[in-house]
Amino acid sequence: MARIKGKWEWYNVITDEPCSLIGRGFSFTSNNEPFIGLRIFVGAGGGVDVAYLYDDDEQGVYYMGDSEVVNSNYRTIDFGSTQQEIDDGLYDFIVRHAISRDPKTVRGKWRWNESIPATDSADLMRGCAVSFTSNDKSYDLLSIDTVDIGAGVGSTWALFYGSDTVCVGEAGSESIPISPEYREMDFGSAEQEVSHELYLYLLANATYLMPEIAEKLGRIAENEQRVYDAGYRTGYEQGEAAGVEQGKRSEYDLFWDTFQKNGDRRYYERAFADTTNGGRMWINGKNYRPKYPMKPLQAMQMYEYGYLPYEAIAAVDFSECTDFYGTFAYFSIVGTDKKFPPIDISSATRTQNMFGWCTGIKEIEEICVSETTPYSSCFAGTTNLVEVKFNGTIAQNGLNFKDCTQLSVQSIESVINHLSGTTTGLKVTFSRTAVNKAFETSEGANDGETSAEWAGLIATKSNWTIALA
Amino acid sequence: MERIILRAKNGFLFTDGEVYGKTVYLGVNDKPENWHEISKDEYEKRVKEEEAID
Repeated sequence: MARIKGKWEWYNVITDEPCSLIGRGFSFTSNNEPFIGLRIFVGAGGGVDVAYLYDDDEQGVYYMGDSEVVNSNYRTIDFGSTQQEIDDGLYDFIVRHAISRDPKTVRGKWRWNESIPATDSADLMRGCAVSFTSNDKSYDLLSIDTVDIGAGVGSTWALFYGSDTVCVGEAGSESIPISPEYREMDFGSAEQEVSHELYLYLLANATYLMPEIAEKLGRIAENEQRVYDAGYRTGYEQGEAAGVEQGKRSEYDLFWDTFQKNGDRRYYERAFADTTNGGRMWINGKNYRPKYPMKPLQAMQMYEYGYLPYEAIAAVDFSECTDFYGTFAYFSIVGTDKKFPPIDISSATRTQNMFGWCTGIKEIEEICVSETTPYSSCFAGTTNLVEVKFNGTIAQNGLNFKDCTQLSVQSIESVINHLSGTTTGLKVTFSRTAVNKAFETSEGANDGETSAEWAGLIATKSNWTIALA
Repeated sequence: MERIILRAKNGFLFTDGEVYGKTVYLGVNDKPENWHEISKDEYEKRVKEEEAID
């Protein structure tokens, strides 16, 4: 049995293989009404029924269905704040066709990077309500906006704490250098709900200081050393090498045997996701030291917010994995070249936000796909991606590189060259900025979409609609 | 057959309900009537909803 909690929101469109699922024994609300079960039916002809049951006679209301009025008021379902057991099949269907909508929170101390970028986020420019202290003063609003710096000079970007203009950028610059006295913010010990925009901006441009989990993991590492030392003394006194190994390995084995189910674990949902409050929990070689090979069947948000090196990811076999929902969302590769290893997603049935907001990745060596691999917002927010190479045939809708403004000629060519030559009615999206730069007719012209080279390339796949966003 | 190219006016993008673009190169089986223009603000609102992740 799986477990589920919190708020989930169904997608607008649900398509799946034919199935019939029904479950009770858990409770949830939708549209402020209580329900005791779910019934889901996907017909061979593609019709989908998602029904919420309010009695054991299977009476219910429909979020999506043919025989009842489809009602968007029931689009969100709330399982409450406590984990509830739910049938594996229902859980699998929910996580593949709905998005978790639990609110974002922050707490504790955060430190800005030495400079932060300007933003076109209306939410940040309007000001985000959050309580914090900085430089011995309390504030309840944080915003990034422009400020006039003088007649004839114009305006530039600045960081505001409350009504205080604390840090100002230079004229014409899109970044704001953060003064040392204002770099640290303390949001207090209690969780505060913040806007999604502020949450993402903090993750991208600030560091969470001294996380509690990292302290605890540090103590585990110290205990491991103490166990090693105790085992070594026992082995030395008794002259038994096994005693030394036992002392050294006991803490390591106990954790990883449990965490990886003695090597049998195949469902790695959020297994190595770093905390949503920021900070790095999993550190390669220190506590990220999996004992058993990993070959996930399910990798939903497996490395979300993670920060690991090339070899750590390269060691995972994703060839049989079906669920890549947010697997590497907000992930960053250790190392200056920011190169992500080859990855096999040929068995995927879901790839939404797989590399979402991976601003810490510049190159993906190879993505191995099959004709059934789906694409949905895989590269949303992956603004620093330059190189990507495909292997296999792209034959599903929705591949979207709109945020990859630095994508190289070779990468764009790789995508187009691997589009199926026989399908019809499918669409792919590129960044217009990337195409205009990559195919520009002369340096600085940014006119690539008018070039003969671009026209010649897309002419090879006239069966595809190609959008430049 | 030459591709039909849709170019949105300033401040707008084309969409067919799934995909968005300032410039859209229609595939051989696609038609202009499948697409309509929306404002950039509406586009950003839709994308924000579609890409939300927890």
